[in-house]
This record gives sequence, C-alpha cells and structure tokens, in this order.
Amino acid sequence: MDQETTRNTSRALEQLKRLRQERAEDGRRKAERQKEQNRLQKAVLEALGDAERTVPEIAEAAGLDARTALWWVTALRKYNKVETAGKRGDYPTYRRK
Amino acid sequence: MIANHPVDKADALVVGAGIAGLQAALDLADQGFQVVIAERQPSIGGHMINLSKVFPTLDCASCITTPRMASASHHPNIRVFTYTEVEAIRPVGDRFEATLTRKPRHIDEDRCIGCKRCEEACTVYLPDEYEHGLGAKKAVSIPFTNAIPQYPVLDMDECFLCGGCARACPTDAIDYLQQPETFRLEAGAVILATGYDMTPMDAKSQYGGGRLPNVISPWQAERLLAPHGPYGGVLRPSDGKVPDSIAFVQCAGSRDLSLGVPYCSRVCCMYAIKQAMLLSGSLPIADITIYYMDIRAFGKGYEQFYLNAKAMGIEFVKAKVARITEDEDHNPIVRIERQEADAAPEEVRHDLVILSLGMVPAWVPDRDGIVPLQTGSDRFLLSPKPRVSPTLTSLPGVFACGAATGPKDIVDSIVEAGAAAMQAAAHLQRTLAGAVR
Repeated sequence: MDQETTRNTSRALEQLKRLRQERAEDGRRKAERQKEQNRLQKAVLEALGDAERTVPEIAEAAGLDARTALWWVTALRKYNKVETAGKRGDYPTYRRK
Repeated sequence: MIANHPVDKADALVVGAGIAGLQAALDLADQGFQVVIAERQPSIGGHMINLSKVFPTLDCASCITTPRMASASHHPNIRVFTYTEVEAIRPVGDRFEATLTRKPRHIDEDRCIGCKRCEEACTVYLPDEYEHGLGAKKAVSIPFTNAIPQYPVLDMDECFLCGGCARACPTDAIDYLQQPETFRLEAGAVILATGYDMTPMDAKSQYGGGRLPNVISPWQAERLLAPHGPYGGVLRPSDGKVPDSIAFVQCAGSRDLSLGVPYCSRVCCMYAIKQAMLLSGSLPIADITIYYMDIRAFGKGYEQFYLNAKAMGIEFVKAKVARITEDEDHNPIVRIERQEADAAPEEVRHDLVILSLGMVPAWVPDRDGIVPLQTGSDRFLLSPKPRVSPTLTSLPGVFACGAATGPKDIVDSIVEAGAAAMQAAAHLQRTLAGAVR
C-alpha cells in the first residue's frame, strides 16, 4: 500500500468514526441484524457439517423454515462457502466448500 | 465511454440504456453525433441483460446485449452516465436543457479497479434485485457479473459501518460521505428509451403473487432458467425442490380493466411459450401447462414457435383461472374453469406457478413532472402521428422508442430505436442548418 493510499484509508476510517457517532441508534439496530445474519449463516453451515444435505434436511437440522434455508444456501453458494454436490430424490444436495 | 465526470454539452441525450436506448445511441454516434446516455440503474443493459434467451430463435439474450453494451461503453462519441436520474428536461429555443443527478455509489470511480475485494470483505447479505429476490448480494456489490461499468454500489442504508470494505480496498476507493451530484446538460435532441415495468405481483390478490412462495414472476422464471441463475438450476423457492409440474397463468396482469391495464401486453404469450420450452429442455419429464384465454403469436416465426411448443408436449389449456391457493407443502392449487361447454370448475395442483404479468410504462413524464409530454390513456408516450411516425412525441426534438411508447418485443424495440435515431439525426441537421443560416 503506497503512502497516498494509506493516508486516504485513514480518511475513510475517519469518515466512519463520524458516521458511527451520527447514526448510533441506527447502528445498534443494524448490529442486531448482523448478529442474526451471523447466527443464521452459522446454523446453515453447521447443519451441513461434513455431509451432503438437501435444503429440507438443512432446514430441519438448523431449525429454520425451508425457504430461509434455501436463501442462505443460495447466498453462501454465491460467495463460495457452499457448493452443489449432487441430487437426492427431487432435491439437489449441498456441501461446504 | 463510461463517464466519471459531468459534461455540459452533447448533440443528443438518450434516456435509458436498455436495448432500445443502446441501439439509438449507437446509431447516432456512428453518424458522428456526440451522445450522452443517462441510465438510472448502476449498469447499462436494461431488462434484456437479465433474460436467459429470446423468442422465437432461443438465442442467448446476453450474447445480443453484451456486444452493444461494450460498444456503447467504448464508443468515442458516447458518454455513459449510470446510476443517474433525469430530474428535468426543458426546451430552450430549439435545444434542450436537462438536469441530471448522479446518485452516490460511495465509490470513487477514478480509483476503483473493480477487484471486488470490498464485496468479499462485506458481511451484510441482502436480497439481490438482479435475481428478483431469489438470490443474495452484499451491501457493497457489483450489480451482476457482466455489469458495465464494473463499479460496485455501497448501500449506505444497509451498511453496518464495520469498515471492512475500506480496509480491503487496495486503491482506497470507498467514500462513505459521497453526495449526489447534479449537473446541467445542453442537448440538441432527446431520445426517450425509458422502457417498461411489469404489473405488481400482488395486483391480483386472488393469484397469491408475493404471498405464496411458489407463485413467481416471469422475471424470476428468467433467472431460474439463466445459466448463472441464483440456484444453479430450476428449483422452487419454498424448499429447493426440482419442480415436476409447472403452470403458467396468462393475462395475469393485462386485459383487465380492474387493474387499469385493459390492453394486451403483446409479449406475454411468447415469453411464456419460450420459458415453457426452456423448462421442458431443463426438466424433460416435468408436466408444463399454460392456462390461456387466447394465444397471440403475431410476429415473424411466432406461430411456428407456438406450434413447436405444442409438439414438444407443452399442454395449452383454454381456461380462466379464478384463484390460486396452496396446500400444506406450499404446492400451488390452481382453480380453473375450462372454456368448454358444461365445464365445471376444477382444482389442479402444481409445484410451481408463473404469473404472466403485463407491461406498464417504467417512466411517466407527466406524472413525474420531468418533461412536458403527452401520454395516452395507457400512460405510454403518445406520438402525434402514431401510424406514420411512431417515434415522434408531442415535443419537437424529443423522440421515443422501445417499450416507452407501448408494449413491444425486442425486435420491434430495436427497429424503433433505429427509427428514433434517424429522426433525431434529421432534427439535428435541420436545427444545425437553421443556426448556420
């Protein structure tokens, strides 16, 4: 990272400090949402474990409804944490990457 | 070229960078005119870049759109402003003054190299508009893989202010405090290629759109069929099951006075047939049914396309759909009445239902107070000479093309874009000659 970039990154972090102060209430709400997102993500990844599972199986293991489980599998698949493994019956199976 | 900084003058302003806007801009630029494109989305390409294939040839939609996107973004006579709203267009003498506002991406476009490290670092997941809610994106993300330009947008309404993106960015392109930038542009002609929207999914509440998870929109169906779609295949949204029985409900947003859309949207029959054929290819053993009032296959090769679909085994049922409910497994139950003598109402269970929604204008200039133009009773832009000069508008020097003037397919949109470009070029030559005299 060159000197100018380092200087400007500090500027971005200064901007953040200011924004965090200005948006403290909003920040708390978003922090709660982030915790919930982290929990759901963790639940899906733990439900997969080392196995290949379908969405209904993931949903049952994670204690989620199947639609939410599918949305998270789709998100994690896009961002390379999960991949499609094969097929069982009418359902594709997924595994952790 | 992609423009990162305002310009104050152009020969023509093209509003909208879907297939019609891109074609009109290229046709003008190739004649030597300086063109500015203003597109409100973060990428050019419009709806077409979102489609899987086109009817009746089943050509890849992206293969038709992407070269035009690339040509426009590299053309020396074109300046492309994305994520830019048109606030006003006012006639001033024989020219126009447009007020444009560049919305903040919270990215310094002069620094961004499109490396996506900010997106990788971001921890906030959001529904992805490009996938029509079926997939996910991050709070800072490039809109889609082949977006032009390859700049991300940071959604400050959703940002968690963790600073991860700023720390990950190798060129320090994140600007949390970036503000909208308004500028004025003077142009000799304007082409409106502002496109269409679809009727809302919940417009006919009895069909369960937006409420029943396995009743989806045609745009969602396009994404399911796309090679890089959200699920990597055709699955239903409630539980990721490969559907075995799929139904289309035609006229689910058109030819309906109660919706304020009494007209035929012209393309729904053909896009439903196209999607049915593609589904049949992806899921060879699935039962595919189209519930319709009548099939309107008006274009060249369209009737044969329809007959091919029938020959492939797609079932066409002439029936009115009264309502759609679901069972405990979220299987949609479609209540129909066949258009046959003595037909009694019946209920048919499917795994997935696609509502063939109708087309409505994406931009109503009178309503939005942007430019004083006449619109028809259908709210699409009105030409004073619809039979002989459909690209004229009520304001000389302002032209319109594509779905801005009414529902139409891609072929007709491209043809009309070329016509609008020719009309605009003739107008520019006339006003230029007048100025010289």
